[in-house]
Amino acid sequence: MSTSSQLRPRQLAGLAAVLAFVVAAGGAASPSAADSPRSGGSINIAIVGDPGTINPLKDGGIADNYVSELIRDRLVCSGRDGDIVPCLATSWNTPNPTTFIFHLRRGVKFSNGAPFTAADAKYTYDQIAFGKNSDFNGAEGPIKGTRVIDDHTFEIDLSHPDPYFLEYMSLNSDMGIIPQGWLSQCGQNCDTTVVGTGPFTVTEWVKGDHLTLQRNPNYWDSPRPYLHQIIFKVTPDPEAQVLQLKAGAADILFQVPFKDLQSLSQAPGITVAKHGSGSMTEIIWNNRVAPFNNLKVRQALSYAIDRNQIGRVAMYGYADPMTDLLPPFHWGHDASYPAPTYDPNKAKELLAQAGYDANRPLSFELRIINNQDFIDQATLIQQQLQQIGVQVKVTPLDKATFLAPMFFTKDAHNLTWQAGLERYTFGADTPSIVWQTYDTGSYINFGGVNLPDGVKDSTLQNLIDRAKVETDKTKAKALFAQISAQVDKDALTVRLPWQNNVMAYRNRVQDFHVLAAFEYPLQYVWVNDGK
Amino acid sequence: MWTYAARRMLLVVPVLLGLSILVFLLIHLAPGDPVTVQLGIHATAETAARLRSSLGLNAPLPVQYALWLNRVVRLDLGTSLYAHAPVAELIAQRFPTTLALTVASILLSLVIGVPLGVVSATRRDGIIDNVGRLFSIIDVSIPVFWLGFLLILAFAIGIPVFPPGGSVSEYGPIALVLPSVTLGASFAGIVVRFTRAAMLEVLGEDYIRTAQAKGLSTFAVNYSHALGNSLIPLVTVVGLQVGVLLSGAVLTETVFSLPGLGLLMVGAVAARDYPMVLGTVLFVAVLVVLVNLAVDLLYGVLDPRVRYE
Repeated sequence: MSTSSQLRPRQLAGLAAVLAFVVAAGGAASPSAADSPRSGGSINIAIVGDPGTINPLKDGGIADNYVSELIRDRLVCSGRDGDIVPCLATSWNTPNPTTFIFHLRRGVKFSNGAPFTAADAKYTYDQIAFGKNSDFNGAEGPIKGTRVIDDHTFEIDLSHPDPYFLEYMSLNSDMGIIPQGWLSQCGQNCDTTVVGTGPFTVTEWVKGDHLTLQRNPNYWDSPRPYLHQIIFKVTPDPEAQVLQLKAGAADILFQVPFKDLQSLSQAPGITVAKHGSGSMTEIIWNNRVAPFNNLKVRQALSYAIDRNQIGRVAMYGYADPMTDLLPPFHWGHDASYPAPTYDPNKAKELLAQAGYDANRPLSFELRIINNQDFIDQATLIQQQLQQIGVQVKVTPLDKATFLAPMFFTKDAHNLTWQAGLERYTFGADTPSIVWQTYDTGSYINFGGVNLPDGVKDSTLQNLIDRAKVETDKTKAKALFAQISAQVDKDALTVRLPWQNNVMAYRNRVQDFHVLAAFEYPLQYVWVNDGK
Repeated sequence: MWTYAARRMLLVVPVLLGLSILVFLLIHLAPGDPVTVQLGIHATAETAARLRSSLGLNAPLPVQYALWLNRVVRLDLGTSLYAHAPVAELIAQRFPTTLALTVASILLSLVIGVPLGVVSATRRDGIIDNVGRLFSIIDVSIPVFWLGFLLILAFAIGIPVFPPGGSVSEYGPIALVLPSVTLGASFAGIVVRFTRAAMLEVLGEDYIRTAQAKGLSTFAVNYSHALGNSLIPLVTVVGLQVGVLLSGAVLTETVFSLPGLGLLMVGAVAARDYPMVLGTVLFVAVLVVLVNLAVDLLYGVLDPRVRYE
């Protein structure tokens, strides 16, 4: 006989049915555990070399950027598509073209627990822009002065309007904020330790081996970061990096040689992903020396190079057609700009007009940095030009030997090279790197435009001068297109297809993506190890 | 012998001085400088000039050399222009890996090469001799980096027994297995050939016939009498190889991402890191001198007829 505390069979069945319904309904409504970011875990990222330094006042090279952007936040950041988004500043206004007022995020702390205020922002910008120990003194935009309005309001004043200043701030990891007085506190360790408000902190750095970041428990964008640890492993050889990824010793490769992308995409447990394109390789003619001081020669070679084939073959299809000078992610990019024409017959005709034929063939030296991607592209260019009777000698060099004679200096040694293949990776310095390449007197005006003995083009210089200060984006975009057209009219360079941003990573890595300008926001990444 | 050794050590000073001047000139004559490498295409005339000044690169070369030498005589190798850390500290970090790799690979090459060379010589023109000679030819023909990649594919990815690369601090001593096998196997072929050649020469000597006639065992004749008297050329070539390896096996370190002296030196040259280049060259030069001295002294141990003057 049952008591009042016991359930009858019919009641039990009903309860079981209700319970089953609740479980099923709950399972259907909520995401599975595998889809939700989970805190914890560690990843290894293979990098070619150490950052030279993570001292915010020193230029440590490209590897410095990977690390710095994870340790130090900027006032404004770059979004997925290159748009400017709030970061340590939640909003900003410009009461006049030379003044920027930033309203700072409240409740933010540095990794050492100290609160972030406007005084820290002022200290950072004063050190970067005016500090005698700064590599960037005077090079980070026309900053005239800074001012603390209150604890959460900070002002930057420029010496003249710079329509690209905010964009530059959003993309430049050198402008990450450091605590007030840090330089006087870091002692002998300024080059290897830094404190920031970013998602990670540096806990160990064994030069030549690895650099370890740990989660910053004070990070303002909680619950991120999800990862507890990131280890940057120094793996100098790109092939060794690929093998480490396949073996599981590395979880992410930021850059993969084109020729390995296919085998990686077919390897189990590995994802190859591309996101936009932000690198451009171009052949730079030294137009101060023969034969490239001849417009017809430059035009002929431009017609003779099949850029689509280079994208298909040397870049293994990870390329977008070349258009104007600005990368596709940038607002100034003109997708309707006409692609260059491939016409080998026209090329031969122009060469003949320039006085070159089978009896007097054109030959020149093409210098490249000793890197497999450059070797592949240069070899294909050599083959293409051979079809119109042009002999190209490809000379691989180390970076210093390649670059040294190309910088503009007052002495003549930059006349010793004829043509060079160089890659530009666009980021914070877009679009300024575009006009610096052609700006009279610019250190990187490799081709020698408007220099003594170089191509004279006052129209191009005039367009560049106007684009530098144009605040209306529509007008600026039109100026960029005109600059591109003028560069192409003079055939100053040969731009190869835009290279895709391609990364390879192991499937345990979730939510890994790259921002438009080669930034890797690893605070969003989490690992799914199937537990 | 000690007088001889001391005299040899004193000769190190002018050797190092001459070497430092030569390397200093060569690295400064190479196109580009640390500023070129560090700033790259993001350089402006102002930032380049400022950085050059802060690195002391504007001073005349003799002044730069004198300043460097002044530090070195006080055992200060300076600070790396790229890594911003003391050169001596970076060398000290890297050297243990290089030393371990050197010792392991030399031992492996001797363990493989010497017995094979002895058997090859004692069974001349037999199957083992032919196999040994074929092995040594193939072995010296295989590029080191290719062998390294092959071993990674086989034993780190195909059958994941060993790590695909990385340092001892990350994986422990097992990180040195595949690199040591790569280097050791590469040198083993040379050991086989030298051992065989030296053994063949000795085996033809009268005292070997005498030993055989006295009824000594084959093992005693081959290993005690013949091999013992064949070691001098082998010690010479091993000593040379030790000197080469202690300066860093760059290809092996690259393939296996081992942070050794080789990569440190190559990286320093590429970065035009002048203090690092000079510091590592000096360090390696001292090591090579010491190894050569050890080899010379070992001759006296192996052959009592050797006298030091």
